[in-house]
Amino acid sequence: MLFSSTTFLFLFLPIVCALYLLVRKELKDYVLLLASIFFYAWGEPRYVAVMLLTVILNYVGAILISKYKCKKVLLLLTILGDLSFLFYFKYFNFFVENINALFDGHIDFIKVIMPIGISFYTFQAISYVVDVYREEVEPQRNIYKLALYITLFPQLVAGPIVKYHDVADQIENRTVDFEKVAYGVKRFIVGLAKKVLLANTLGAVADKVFTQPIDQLDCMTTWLGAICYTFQIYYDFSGYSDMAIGLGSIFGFKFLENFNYPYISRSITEYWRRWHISLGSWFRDYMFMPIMFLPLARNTAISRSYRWVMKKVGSKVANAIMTFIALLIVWFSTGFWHGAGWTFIVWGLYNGFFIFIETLTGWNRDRKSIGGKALQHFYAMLVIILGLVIFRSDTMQYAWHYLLTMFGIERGETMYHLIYYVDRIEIIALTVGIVCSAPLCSKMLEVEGRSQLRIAAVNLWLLALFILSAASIAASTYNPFIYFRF
Amino acid sequence: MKRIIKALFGGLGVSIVLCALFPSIFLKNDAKWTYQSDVGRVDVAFAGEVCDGKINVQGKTLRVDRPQWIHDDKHNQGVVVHFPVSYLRKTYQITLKPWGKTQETSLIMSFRGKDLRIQNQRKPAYVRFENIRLNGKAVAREKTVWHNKPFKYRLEKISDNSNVILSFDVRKPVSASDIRWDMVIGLFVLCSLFVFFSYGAIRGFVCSTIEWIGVMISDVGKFLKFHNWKILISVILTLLANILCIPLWTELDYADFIKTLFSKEAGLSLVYEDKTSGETPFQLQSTPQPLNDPSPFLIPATNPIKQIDLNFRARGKWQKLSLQLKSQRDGKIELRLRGPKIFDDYGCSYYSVLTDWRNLKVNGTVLFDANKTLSLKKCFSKQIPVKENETLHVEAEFRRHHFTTRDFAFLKSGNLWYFITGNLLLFFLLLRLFGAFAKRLGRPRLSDTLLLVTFFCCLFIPMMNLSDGVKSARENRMLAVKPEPREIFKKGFDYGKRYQNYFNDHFWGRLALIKLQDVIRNKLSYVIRVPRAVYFKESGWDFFVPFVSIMDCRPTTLQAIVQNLIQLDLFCRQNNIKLYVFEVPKKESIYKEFLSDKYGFDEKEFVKVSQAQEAIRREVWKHHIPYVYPYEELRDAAQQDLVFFKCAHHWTDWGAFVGYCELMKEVCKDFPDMPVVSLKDYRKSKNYLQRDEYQRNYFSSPRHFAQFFNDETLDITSPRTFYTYYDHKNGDKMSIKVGKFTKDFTYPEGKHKIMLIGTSQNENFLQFLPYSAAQTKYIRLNFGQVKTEDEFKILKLYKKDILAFKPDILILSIGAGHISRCRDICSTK
Repeated sequence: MLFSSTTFLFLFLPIVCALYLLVRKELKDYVLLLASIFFYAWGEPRYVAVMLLTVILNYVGAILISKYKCKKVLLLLTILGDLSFLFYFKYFNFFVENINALFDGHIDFIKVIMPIGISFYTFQAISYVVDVYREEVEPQRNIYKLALYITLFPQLVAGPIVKYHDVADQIENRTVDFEKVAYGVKRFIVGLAKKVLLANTLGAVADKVFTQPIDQLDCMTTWLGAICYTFQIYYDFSGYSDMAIGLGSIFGFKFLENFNYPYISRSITEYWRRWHISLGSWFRDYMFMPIMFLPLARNTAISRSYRWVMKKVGSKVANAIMTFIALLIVWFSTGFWHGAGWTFIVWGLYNGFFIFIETLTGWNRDRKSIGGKALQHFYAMLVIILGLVIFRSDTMQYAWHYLLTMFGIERGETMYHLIYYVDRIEIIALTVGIVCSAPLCSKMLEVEGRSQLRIAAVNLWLLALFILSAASIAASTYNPFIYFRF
Repeated sequence: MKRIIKALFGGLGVSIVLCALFPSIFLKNDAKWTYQSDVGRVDVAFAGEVCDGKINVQGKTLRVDRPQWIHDDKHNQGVVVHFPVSYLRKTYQITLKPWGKTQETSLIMSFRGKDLRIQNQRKPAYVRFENIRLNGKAVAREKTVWHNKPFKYRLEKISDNSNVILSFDVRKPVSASDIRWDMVIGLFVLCSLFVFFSYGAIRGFVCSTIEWIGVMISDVGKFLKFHNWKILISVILTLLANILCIPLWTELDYADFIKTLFSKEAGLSLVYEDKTSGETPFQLQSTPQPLNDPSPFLIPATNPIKQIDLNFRARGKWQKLSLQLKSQRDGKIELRLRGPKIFDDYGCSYYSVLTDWRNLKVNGTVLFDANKTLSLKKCFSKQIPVKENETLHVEAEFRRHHFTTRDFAFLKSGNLWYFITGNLLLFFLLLRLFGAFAKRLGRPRLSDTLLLVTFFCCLFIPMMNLSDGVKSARENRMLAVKPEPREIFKKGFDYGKRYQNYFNDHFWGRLALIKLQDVIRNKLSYVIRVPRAVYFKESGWDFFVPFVSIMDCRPTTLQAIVQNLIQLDLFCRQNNIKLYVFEVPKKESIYKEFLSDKYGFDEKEFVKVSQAQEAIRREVWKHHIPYVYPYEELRDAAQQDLVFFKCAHHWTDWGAFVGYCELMKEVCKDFPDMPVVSLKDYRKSKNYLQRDEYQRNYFSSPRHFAQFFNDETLDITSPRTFYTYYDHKNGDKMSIKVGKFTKDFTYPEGKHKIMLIGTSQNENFLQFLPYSAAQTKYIRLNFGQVKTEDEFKILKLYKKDILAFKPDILILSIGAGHISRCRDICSTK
């Protein structure tokens, strides 16, 4: 079930909200858990079992980790269990494809559809057991509450990846008050409008461009497609995050922000601090930092090698090498997490490369002059847009030719005029998208210290946005069967 | 132990609730539950040799009808006896007294349920008859019947004036034997286990609910103290709930009720037979003047039944209507009094808008005088024979429908007190709910409160009234069917997806939201695009995508097309038939100028495709098969008048005539005696509507433009286009027989037999071609008679028809867009 579907919006959400807000406090968790399982089962009931197995595995794993001394082994086993589901459903066919291609093999693919949200809830589950291992939190003794954390429907499908230590208290004890519900509704409407009105409109343009054969695209069209996709992916993802945060707020949770105007960044390092913050911080907390701390461990092969390198080349270079290795692993994993394809891996490494260069050169430091700032911003946007071309392309070959066409090195002959791709409505969406990607209306939803009139005006505007979004969703259900009779 | 006992009782309770909520899962035949009838009936009719027989009926709480259909040829009256049915067994004793000039004969009794129809489909409303006795003799012990599956009994040899005493018990059909006990027991066990393990949670829920109800009741006395927004919102929501419940307590559904309430029109229709599409065969005068143009729809001459609709301004007071019809020939006119014609949102059917009529007189004869409430679905019709030059006087009175308590089913079956009590209870419940919300959520801000209330109302409203529409004419498709709950674990676990499809098609307000979206989209766009067409707002032209005729220009495909045409020709030669292939050029190629400036019409692609088409034609000609492709002629003719409709892909009458002339040039080489019509033989008229098989147009209802998109808010900036229509002056001489996907024409002045096989472009072609041939048989390939992929398998599907008709000429006439499908012509798979 998608947040922008009619069944979610006009059936599931109102019923769950009504039940949740009306039942006694003790029952709220159960209502939410049942709703989350129902939400997941609606689309693909078969994979509920996978999700519930993940819950049981981590529940048992965390309790054992807290009880026994062989914590590391138990942690590794639990994480391996979590990742095995992810590997089987998401990456198995990718490996088979590459092994077949490399060794001219004939290993059969498995017929399996990737369960929705498996990447998100697996990472959440790993976050839980690692937090227990680090003794940052107590293991959850109530399996329902752990299931609620892992399956909580607002963030189940598209994040944000909520770390256990951030919400552990809220799962045990949270309050629902008017302010939270009102804020949640407003945030949800904003997210819905982002997704439906901006992302879908711009996505249609990007899809049209990216589905054309590369020899039928010219320079202008490729730039148009890349820019539209850049804004589509932002509004799509941040819209979902807004909806998730809004729903969380309605149910009394406070999720951390996932996006912070990433397109105002002046470096890729800053961009990744503003883009998909929950994923970035997850990799930082659970992958980058542990790798960076590996040399400090006593008497391990890595620490010995590190010390040897430090003696040979000095601590600065050794640190740079360690950072490089850590970034390589993290950005490889980041790319691979996004999808089982070489384009995603290349995109991840591409980002890691620029971050490494920026760290080395100090490019990511703030400039004082306007010209310097503008140049930094131009650089960052260019790298982001080109990176997203790789991300969007089906194959590396297509991405390569697309990039060459963007810079006029290759020239295709377009079949259509620009009006085929963008009409007035798309131009409006793109303009609004560009304007709203800057923090001009960042405090729109704040109510403290605002006049009633201003709040009322914002609320009216939000209602209008909601009705427009609902109209757009309804129009997507219009499906005329052309020409023939019934 | 206590917990086990509680779990068992709890499980029982939960399973009873679930059984009541989802009965279809627990019943062997869920139709018995779904369509329950409150009325049973027995049809009694004479059988055998009788004349002027009648049946009198005596009995308590019976309603007796003598409908027209039950009369046999000799004017014997049968009766239909209706009686109430409930869950409790009711015993009826009916005395039937046949009388009149009856001879010793038989009575046939059919025990059946109510004739329940939903969306014009009869539904199985079951009734169970038990202990049926006739004159004390047992006939049947137990029979469960519905309208289409009655229990029939023939009572032999009844004599005149002898009473027949029929007795039976009757009740609604569901009994213990209908229940799937395995499911019920399974559910009971599951529920008991559930209650056992979740006892604490359930107990908490039940206690809180009871506590709530208690507090709610105690608040009744205090509610006047709440002088705040809770009362206001509760009142508003109570009213809203009343409005939403209109379908429950009126005999009309919600939309019908609202439309009737605000209706300002009344209407009547005149239906007659006419084999031309020209002038009406009578002169019409009316007082008051009708609101609309009293001319028939633009229906092609191939449809002999014509209709004129007259709409009048209706007021609250009775108004007199006077109609004078002077007929110009003998015939019959059917007069239909009705409500106004307002299409539903799906364009499939009309709203049942009520209008009151009384004192209907035709030539002074009173047809009815009492007040009748009529609508399109329940109209009064009367067929009146007329002679040449005879004037028919029709008088009647009409007014806007006045609602009375009779219209409200709830008030009729219950009483006003229930209604008031229900509303009060609802009000207090809402008040309590908002009180609870307020307590839980703290002190709210007014504008945020309004936002939340509006938002949640908006979320709840669409699920309140899911439409029961079956098809959508505007979308030209069947709407998704509601999946049964028992299918949750069937069919690949796609219940959610199928329910989503159903919900997408049926949620309340869907069409209003789509309309809103379209208004915005159309206002903001230069070009309106849909997957299969583009519409240019400035010029008013729309074109089909892809713009070129064939996308697959590979030599193998072209060769396959040619081979199939050659094989078809071979078949024709073997059967002494002359084959002509006629290709109607694509609109996009004739009017490519309108595309090239605006929308990247690919000239290269067009040239490539044209060359491929040319290659096909050349190959076919090499085998001496005449192939007509009037491209240049249509391009020239387009300078004089429109050869294609601007908003459809079909050609106009003028375009079809140009094509006809080119075809006849070829035909006359082989059949020189074949008469060719000229435009002098035709009456010209102008109309802005588009004549084709759907009466499709963008400017008046019904809007069937399935080819285009979902909108009746087209922002047309160009002036309305008028097209020229040609109707043959001798239309009366043409005899037409219309089949499902065939049409047979017989014209005495024509020669030879022509069989025309092709696609929808031929509909306008038929204004000309049948006037050349003595007999013409038209087979429409794409009429939905077979699967889309099989449509062009002509020899497989229509070989028998061709051989049976034995035409002299076979014309294969297809649009250029379908030319690549000719590779299936001789396919036998």
